[in-house]
Amino acid sequence: MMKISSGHFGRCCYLGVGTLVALGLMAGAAQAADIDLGPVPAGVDPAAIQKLYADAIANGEKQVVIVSNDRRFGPLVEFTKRFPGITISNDVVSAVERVTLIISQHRTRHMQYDLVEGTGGVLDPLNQTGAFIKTDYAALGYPVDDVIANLGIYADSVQVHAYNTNVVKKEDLPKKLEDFEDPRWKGKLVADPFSYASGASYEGLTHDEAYAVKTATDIRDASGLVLTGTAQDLINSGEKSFFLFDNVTRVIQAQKAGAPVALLFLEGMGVGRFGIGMTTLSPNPNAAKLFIYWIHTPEGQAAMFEHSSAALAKNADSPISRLVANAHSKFTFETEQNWKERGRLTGVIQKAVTQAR
Amino acid sequence: MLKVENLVKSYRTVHGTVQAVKKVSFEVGTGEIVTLLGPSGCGKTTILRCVAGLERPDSGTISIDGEPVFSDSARRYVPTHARPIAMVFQSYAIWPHMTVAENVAYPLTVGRNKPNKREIADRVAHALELVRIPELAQRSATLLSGGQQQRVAVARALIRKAKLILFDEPLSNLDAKLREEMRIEFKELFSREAVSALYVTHDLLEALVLSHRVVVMNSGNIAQSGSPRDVYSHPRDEFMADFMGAGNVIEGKVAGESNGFIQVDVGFGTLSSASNGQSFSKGQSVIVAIRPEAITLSGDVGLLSFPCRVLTDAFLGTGMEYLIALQEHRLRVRMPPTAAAFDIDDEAFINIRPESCVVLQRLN
Amino acid sequence: MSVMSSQESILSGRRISLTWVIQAAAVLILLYLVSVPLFMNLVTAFRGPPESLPLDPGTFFTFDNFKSIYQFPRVLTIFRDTFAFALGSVALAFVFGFTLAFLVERTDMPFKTVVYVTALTPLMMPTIVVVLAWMFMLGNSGGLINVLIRTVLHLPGTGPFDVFSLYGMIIIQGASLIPLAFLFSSSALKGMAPSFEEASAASGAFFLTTLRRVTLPVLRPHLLSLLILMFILSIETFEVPALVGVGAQRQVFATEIYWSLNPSIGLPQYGEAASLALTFLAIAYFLFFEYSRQMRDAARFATVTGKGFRPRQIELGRWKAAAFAFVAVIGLVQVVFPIVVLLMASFMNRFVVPFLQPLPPLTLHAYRDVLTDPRFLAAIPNTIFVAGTSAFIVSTVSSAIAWLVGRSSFPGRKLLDFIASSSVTVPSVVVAFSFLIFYLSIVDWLPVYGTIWILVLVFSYRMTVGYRINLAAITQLSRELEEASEASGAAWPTTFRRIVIPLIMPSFVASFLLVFFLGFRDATLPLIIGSRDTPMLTPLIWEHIQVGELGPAAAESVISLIIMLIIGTLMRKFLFGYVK
Repeated sequence: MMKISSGHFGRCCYLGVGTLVALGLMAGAAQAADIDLGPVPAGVDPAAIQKLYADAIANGEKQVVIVSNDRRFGPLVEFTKRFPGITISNDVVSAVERVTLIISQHRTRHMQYDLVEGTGGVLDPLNQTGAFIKTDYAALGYPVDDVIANLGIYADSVQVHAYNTNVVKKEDLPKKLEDFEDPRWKGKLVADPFSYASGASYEGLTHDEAYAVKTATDIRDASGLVLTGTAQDLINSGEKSFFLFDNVTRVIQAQKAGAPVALLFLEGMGVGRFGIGMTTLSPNPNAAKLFIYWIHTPEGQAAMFEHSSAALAKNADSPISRLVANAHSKFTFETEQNWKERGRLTGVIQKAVTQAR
Repeated sequence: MLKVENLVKSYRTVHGTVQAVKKVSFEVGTGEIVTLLGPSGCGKTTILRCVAGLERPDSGTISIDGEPVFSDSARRYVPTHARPIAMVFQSYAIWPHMTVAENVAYPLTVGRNKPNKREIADRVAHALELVRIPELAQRSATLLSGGQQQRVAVARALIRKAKLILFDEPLSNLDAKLREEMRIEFKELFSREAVSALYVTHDLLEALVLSHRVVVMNSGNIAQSGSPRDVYSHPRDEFMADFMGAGNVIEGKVAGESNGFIQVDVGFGTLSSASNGQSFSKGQSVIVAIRPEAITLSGDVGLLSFPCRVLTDAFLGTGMEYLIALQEHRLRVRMPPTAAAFDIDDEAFINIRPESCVVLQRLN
Repeated sequence: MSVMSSQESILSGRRISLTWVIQAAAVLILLYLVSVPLFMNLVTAFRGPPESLPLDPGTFFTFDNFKSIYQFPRVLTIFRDTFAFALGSVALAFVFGFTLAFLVERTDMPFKTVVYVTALTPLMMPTIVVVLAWMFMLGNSGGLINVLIRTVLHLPGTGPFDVFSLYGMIIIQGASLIPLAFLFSSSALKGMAPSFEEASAASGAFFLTTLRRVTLPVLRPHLLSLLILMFILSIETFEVPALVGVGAQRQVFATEIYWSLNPSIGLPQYGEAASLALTFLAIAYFLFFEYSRQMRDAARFATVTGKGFRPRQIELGRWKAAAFAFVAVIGLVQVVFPIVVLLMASFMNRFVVPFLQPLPPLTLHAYRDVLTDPRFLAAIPNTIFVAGTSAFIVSTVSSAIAWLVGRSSFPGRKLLDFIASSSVTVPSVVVAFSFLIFYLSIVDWLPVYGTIWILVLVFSYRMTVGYRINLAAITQLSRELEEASEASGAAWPTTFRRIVIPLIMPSFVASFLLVFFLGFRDATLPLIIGSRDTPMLTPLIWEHIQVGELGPAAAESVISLIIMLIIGTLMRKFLFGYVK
């Protein structure tokens, strides 16, 4: 059976030639030779990967279509080098739109996307509605820790407080979270409404809910903390001094672009985990699995870091994982066991901090 | 040319149904100018709009040049644009986005049989000649004075050579002097172009000057119709008298008749008055209409004079007008400029000429 | 009248007139474009449970969405803040927008082009950029205005202003509505015979008295419509409350929708968002109902009468300097500063607040990246095409509908009025998701999904703004102008084409411009409905901003702004060309 994407399908209706082209490709690529896989991680059967590639080519799967909040997927030419004939196509769409898009396409059975990127909390509804297919991540080289809510974890979001070095002196830096209640920071703090609640939720995991809510609201009330989606522009420009619960990747990118920002790790920060899941109606299922495999290999991880300064902090060696290891802080990782509780806490804290004073 | 029969038109409003036109019938002959005259709200404009097809009557028939354009019994309704008419609006309705020439040419460019460009240009020039503004052809319509707009509106109505031209209070927006000029010009134009027209106005003088026949309307009915002279000098009832500018109206009871004059007891005495061809019984309640110019004011007592007091005086140029008090009555008196002058609060006497008084039935 | 005539032709068994066909087509297009999301919003508001999409198997009728949203006393706070925010913004936008329009249309102020640019440029900039500019102006530590005031008055610390406050929200939202207020007011003033004002001036009234006692009352249909529209846009608007309001800890309806759609865990709460949207619908319905009740005697407000109007211009004289200062301040704040921020950001890859820090070196990197990005190069023509085509559809259909409602005795005109007025109340996300499901469901019959046409169709949904402008203009038009055409022998289509359209042209163009620019700036619809094959501009800019790349985002904004300015200048000719 041949599967075609809805995008192709639309064009078939217009041109009526797409089918012929696909059939031609199928015939021509039926006997694809083995390709060089490079070093294959332990626990992965190279033959299985070869078969995935051969099936993808035989099926006419020329691309992996990803919808994500992560532009880093776009320029991953390394993948195409490794698996010739398969390119990456990435649509960057925010959380609500992403879930809305996938559920609508799943319901009407016109799926355009192979892979969806995001956090367990955001993407779990896709599992609930059957839009995600159950994937055997272990066979693709993922350790148990790197699977959350049926997502293969490919990158971490390491929390950090960022400060503008032009307006904050190093000796003034707070030593613990409560120090931000100091009057000297009044009117100087900014945070993103989502990441602030998300950051404080780890306090809830390590202490308890009441403590996390109290800390989050106390800092807000003492400092006049501003919550806005434009937090990073306010910190880069120096309008605000601290961006609470920023993430490492973003700060490193800002530094690369020349912004005078630096990292501040305090005790009790969290590491959120980003994964990708495969759609049940994926038009390019073999290519999609190949991508899931590849992004977790050292080659894929290196490419990710090359393009975006991000990489798996926990299980892969990268400058960020070394940074985390040297931060002298104990990080709480998001896991299959705690992601639901963390999501719940985030909701509670978010409600508390966005209520009018 | 135009025949209106049993025309009825009512409106639904929040307060219920209002009958604007109640079974009205009249005709306009070929080459005839007929005026619908009446106070505002009398239904005259509604009739005009029904003839134009801008309103749809409830019942009756309207035919133009023998062609029925509306008939409730035959379920026939010809839309405005298909009726052989032209119309001049109260607001002129000159389209501000066109030049004068474009405005005037418009009727020729929208119909079925469009003349060629040359003919259109010729006819526009001719129409503008007729209304004496040939030099304004290329001017923007927004840069015209009131009188000029009026002329453009008329030219636009004439150019179509419609069988019937409808005028909706065309002079009401002009100042007095201009109105007088245009009245004369219209009259000349109408006779020269031999148009048939239905002309709506609330201005008595305009109706008298312009029309061959006047149809006076009162709350949806025809109060009286006839030649201007007839309607003016022989008003049929109190409303007509008042509307024709009788000026003074006094209530009384018929006391008797002698020498073709009717004697009316009016409280301060007995007035003799022309009979107007109607018959009255003794003791009947009537009104006597007296034109201001039918009363003479003098300082000396006469045979049939009544004592009075002068309340106000006004210089009119063509004479003096006084308001005088005669017991509880207030009467307007108009005297030629050559007559003796009176001051306010002067005691004087009035004399009323019987042939200039009219006895009328009281309404309701 | 002509509706009567067309009905008559059907009754009397003659051919179905062209009139009827055109009117029927306009109604059908309106229903097609607007009723899907309206219906879907209604359904969504009353369906549960929240884990499901509204039409999934297993869902049921429920009031749960309302219960979870409308909780006392919280909802009172929301109402209070929403109304304070909306009323404040409307008042601010009206005063400034109307004054600008008045200066252009009614005074001898020189350099009117400057006023036009001042009033309309903000429409051409992405909202997020404008909001950022305001933050850099009114930010409490490094905000330009604050720094100036502190320097002059030798004040220590931060402030005195803080953009993250209720007044901050009002200023930003109010400023963003000025173009709308300006376009509406100037098309109203253009159509109003100055004799009304002259009569008042002749009665000895000072021009402010004339403004208050004559101009504003005479223009009531236009201005009331404008105020209502701005009010609804303000309670529905999403960007300012989300970017500033959350920081100010002000809860308005839009932020409630924002939170409902962005839960920390689980499916976006479409039901809650939709039930909130029903409040907008109720408010909008109430306001527009009140409006049409007040405008029942619409003939009184006819100001384009066909009696001559020579646009009169007030000589400003000594006031000229004041007028200039007024325009200059608005221009500085609305145009110059945001553009400076944009340019600086685009040449520096990021923006720094001047005075606080050293400026980074200038570079053309951002422009090079942007101009070599094939997606951006494709996005520009796509965006112009989609925004332009949909704006044309909206202005054409909405003017025909406005004529039907305002002039004819068409039996369903109340319903049409409601439908055309309500599109503005449905949140963009609900709109997008309704259309997505709709067009995906019928993709076999109407294969527009994945093509550029789906964007055109979805963008054309925004009827309300165009409709209200055109309705107000038609109300302003004296009936006699149309009747004179009919009495000249022109059938309805001819009258519409040669008389009505040219006379409402200023409003037609105003509605086209507004819908065009609103479409140009829209982010939500293209994000959900668009596809890789049809890149659009705003999603690209948004994508950069998401990851903190202000540089390319600014460069893209600058380029699109230049293109918009060119288009706007060309359109302006139409606006000015009305009175010969």
